[in-house]
Formats: sequence, structure tokens, C-alpha cells
Amino acid sequence: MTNSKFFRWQLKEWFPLFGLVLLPLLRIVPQCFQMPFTNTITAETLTFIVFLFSFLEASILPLMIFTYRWSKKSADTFLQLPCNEGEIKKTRTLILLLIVLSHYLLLTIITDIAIIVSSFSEKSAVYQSINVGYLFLSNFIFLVMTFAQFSVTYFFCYRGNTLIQSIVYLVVGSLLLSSIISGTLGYIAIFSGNHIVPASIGTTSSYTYFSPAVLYYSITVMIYKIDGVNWGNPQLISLFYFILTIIVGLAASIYTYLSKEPSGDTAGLQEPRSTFDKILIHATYFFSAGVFLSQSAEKVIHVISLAFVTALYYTLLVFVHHTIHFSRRTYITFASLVLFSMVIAFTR
Amino acid sequence: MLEINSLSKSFADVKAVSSLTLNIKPGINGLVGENGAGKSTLLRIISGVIRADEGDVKIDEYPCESKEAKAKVFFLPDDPYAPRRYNIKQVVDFYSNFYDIDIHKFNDILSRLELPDNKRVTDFSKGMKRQLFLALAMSIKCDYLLLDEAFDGIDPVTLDLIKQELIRLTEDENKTIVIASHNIESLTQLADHFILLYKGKLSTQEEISDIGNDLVKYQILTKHTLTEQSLISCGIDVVSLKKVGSLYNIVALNDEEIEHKLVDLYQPSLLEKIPLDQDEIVTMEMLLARKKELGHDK
Repeated sequence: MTNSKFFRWQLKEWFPLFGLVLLPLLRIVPQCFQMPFTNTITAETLTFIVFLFSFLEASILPLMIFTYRWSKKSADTFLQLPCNEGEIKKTRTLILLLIVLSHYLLLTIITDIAIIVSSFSEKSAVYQSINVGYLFLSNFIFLVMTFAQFSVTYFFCYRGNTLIQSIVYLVVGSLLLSSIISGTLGYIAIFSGNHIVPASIGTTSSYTYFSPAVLYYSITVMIYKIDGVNWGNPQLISLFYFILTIIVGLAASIYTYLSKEPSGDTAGLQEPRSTFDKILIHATYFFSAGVFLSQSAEKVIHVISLAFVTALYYTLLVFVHHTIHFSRRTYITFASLVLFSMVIAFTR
Repeated sequence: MLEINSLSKSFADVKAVSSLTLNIKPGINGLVGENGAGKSTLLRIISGVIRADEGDVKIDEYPCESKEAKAKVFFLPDDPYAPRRYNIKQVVDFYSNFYDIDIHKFNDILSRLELPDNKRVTDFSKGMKRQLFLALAMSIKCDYLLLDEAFDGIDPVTLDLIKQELIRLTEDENKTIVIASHNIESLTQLADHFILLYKGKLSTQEEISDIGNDLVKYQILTKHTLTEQSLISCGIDVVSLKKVGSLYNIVALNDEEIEHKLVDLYQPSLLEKIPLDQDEIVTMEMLLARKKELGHDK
């Protein structure tokens, strides 16, 4: 699975990262232990800060897994090392995942101790209502969400042959996952003759996959109000997005873990390496346009939104292809999709 | 034994290696060919860096992409990589995690190269970087060494030292070394075997003593004007025709009748058969490969 020699070397190389990323976090620790004496920080806020930090780490660190593939030079060095196919990728993934999860667990333990201690303190009546079972359940769910986020980031970074491509795919992936459901519902609303998308779709579209604040809201709604009286629409949507996140995260990790290490000839390549990678940007534009076009009946807003999304679409294409001169097929796809959106914008 | 069977590799529409079958022999193998002949691609496939589209490479019976095969091979690319902050010691430490390095030998070679110990390797000149990695490659205990553009940017004194060391490696340690280079002069001094690639195909694989046996060179002085076309039309398989002053130098495929044909057609005041030197032979073999391919295309 992983290569022990490479693991040792890579762990030594990345060990400073463990401490470096953890340093700003230690700022939270004194706050945790001041809790019994202040009401400004609540248990929910603290668990959210820890989750937010881990979420951000899980959204950025997987980029580092593939640094060795971003140039032909480094790929020549790393891919010839006496390791089995894919071991380098898997070893680097494992180390970074360990860093992210260990940061989360370390901070969670600190904050949980602080919360539990404070909940038994006579000075802080606020925390006496804390249910330890719910607290641990939320910790566990956040841990799973962090892993899911790591896997999804990993999946999109893996698509890039260069640093710029990896960042573009990360942006594209975030946009696609946040717009795929609401965009589809948007198109259904448009073609079914609704001028404005029903309120339920508007609510759904606000639950963006990559928004930790929304995820946090969704999960806290589930955890803290699980035995509440109002087990209605918001909770169901939260549950839906939570399950979806887990499924997407698992699918991403299984695919990326099982997929073959791409051949070294794609390292540093200034073009997407597969048809799937090429389609990603076009699909993102399609669904994003669906979201924008379904949000209002005003033509002016349609045109402004469309201009913005089209400019972003073109910019992402430029970055992923490393050129402003695309293939004929890319130009045709780009023009067709923009024309399609324009027709909808002007005919609604 | 390094065996290559029906190997093919394409990049987009370009066929870099095409149905290549080859057994690489122990000793020093000079891998030559024009730019884009597939030399670097071949070395990158053998070292397991890139995957072939078709065919396979076996290194002592192991597929080249296996861990066992990779442990037997060290590939030095044309532009070797070192992490940005690494000095010489750190580079050696990195490789020592994966390969068995003869540190004594490395230090011995390094002491003769005068490379700065504490400077970052990325700040080295191209030649210095290449010297360091060649010293490292020669100190790694592996059976196969693949050196891409091995002699680029190296000064003659250091080059001489490296050549001696490479010869010693094959004699004392029985290593198989493949050197891809455009420095034909150095290769002809070193190589036991020559492998000539043309457009990803094997054009020639010969012992150094056999290479060029099919070629002959004449110096001719005549009042007639010689062109490749006129020589071909009279049945001479010309490889190269050059005019130096009033003399023509002709390199052609060996043919017993060639002298008679030249005398009959051009009535030369001077016709002399002269030997080809080793560099010239390799260059002519490359030209011949191109002509054969052109003829084949037509």
C-alpha cells in the first residue's frame, strides 16, 4: 500500500508542516480554558472554529500530494524510485491525512475537555446544559466531514498536471458540487415555465457543498435539535446534504485511491489529460448558469450574471489549457454553451 | 539482461517509439539519434517513469515498472531535479533512502570535482549539477545506469575523469550502462555497442568494431560537377556529398564497382579512398537511417 522508506523520508520532510500549521491553532487553547469565566465563546462556536480550521486544512493540504507531478523534472526523479506503482501518491496522501486528522483530534480533545470542565463549573450555568453524547457525536460527524472534504479536494487536485491546473480544478470542483443540484432544479424550473424558482429550490441552492458555515449549520441543526419539536424541511435538507457529502467524499476517495498513478508523461503537461477533465469546466458553467438564470425574472440581472459566469468560464479555460488558443472542439463547446445560456436569458 | 519487446509510445499524434525490439548488452551502450528519435522516451520507459502504449521492457525478468526492476536501475535525466533548499549532502541523503550508495566512492569522486559543499544544488551551474548527479549515479550500487545527455556542459578535464570512471564501472562491476548523447566524440571513445534510433525505430545496433563496415569514403578531384542525384543515377548509394575547396568528399554504401563507376563517369584527376573516423561513421549512420526512412516513405 505505502512504501516504508518513502514514508520515513516524506514524514521527515513534512514534519515542520505539522507544527507550523498547528501554531496558529494554539491561540484557541487559552480561549478554551477561559470559558468558565466568559460567555462570549459558546461550545458551538468553539467546535465550529476547530471544524472550520480542519475543513480549511482539508481543502488546501491535498494540493501538496501532487507537487512531484507538476514538473517533468521532479516526476522523473520521484517516479523512478524503487516503489510499486501508486505507492508515492498513497504514501503522501496518508501522511497529509494523518496531519489533518491529528490536528482536528488534538484540538477537539482540548476543546472538549474545556467544554466538559466548564459545563460542570458552578460559575457557568450556560454549559450545564451541554449534552456530552451530542458533543461527541458532533465531533465524530465533523471528523467524517473533514475526511470527506479531504477526499473531494484530493480528487480535484489529482486532475491537475500543474499547480495552476490543480488550483483551477479545485475551484471548478467546488463550483460544480455547489451548483449541480440547484442548477438541475433551476433548469427544470426554467423549462417547466416557472419565471422564478420555487422557494424550496432557492433554499436548496444556498446549501453550498463547500461552505463550512452551511455544513456547520446543517450539522448543528441535526445534532442539537435532533429531539426538538420541529423536525421539518431544514433538518431534512441538512440530512440530505450530510449524506450527499459523505457519499461524494467516499466516492472520491475510493476512485482516487484505486485509480492508477498517471504515467509520468502527463507530469507538467499543459493540457488536461483526459476527456473527463476537459468536460468538468463545461459542466460547471452549464450548472452555474442554470443557478443564475433561475434566480430572477429580471433580464438585466440575467445578463449581468451571465456575463460574470461566462468571464469566469473563459478565464478557467485559459488557466487549465495554459493558452488562449484552444482546440476547435473546445471553442465549439464554449460557444454552444454560452449561446444556449444567452437564448434562455433573453427569451425568459 | 535488459530486453525490450515491440515497444511503442506516442505523444498526441507523434510516435516517439515505434515497435522497438532490442536487447541491451552489458558494457557501455551509446544511444544515438537525431533530436526526437525517441532516446529520452526510451530511457524514461525503461526506468518506469512513463508507461509504454504497447510492448514491454524486462529487466532481469522483472517488468520495468516493478519495484524489483526499479531497484536495479538508476536513471539520470537530462535535467536532474533537486528540491530547492537541498545541498549536496541532502541530495545524497535523499537518494540513500532508496538506493545503496557507496559513500566512500562518492566522496572520492566528489573530491576530484571541486563542487561547493554548502551551496544549494539548484544554484549550481548546469555543468556542476550534472557533475554532482553523475558522481551520484556512478556511486549507486545498481546493475543498470541510464544516462540521458550525460556529457552536456561538462568541461574536458572533468569529462575525462568521468569517462575513466564509467569504463572502470563496466570492467570491475560488470554494469550495463546506456548513454544517450549527441557528443559523438565522447561516445565513440567509450561505447562498446552502438544503438542508433531513427524516428523511434531501431536503425542499427552494432559492436563498436563493426559499425561503419558498410560505408566507404572517397576524395575526388574532377572538372565535372557532382550532385547527389547524378551519383544516385549512376548506381552509387551515396550517403553524403560535400565539396571542400575543389575536392569532393563522397561517403557511400560499400560497393566493389564504386571506383570504376566514378572513374568512368567523372574522369577524376584524383580519386582516393580515405578512412572514416569514428565520429564521422556515427554521423553517417544517422544520415543513412534518415535516407532509408525517406526511401521507405516514398
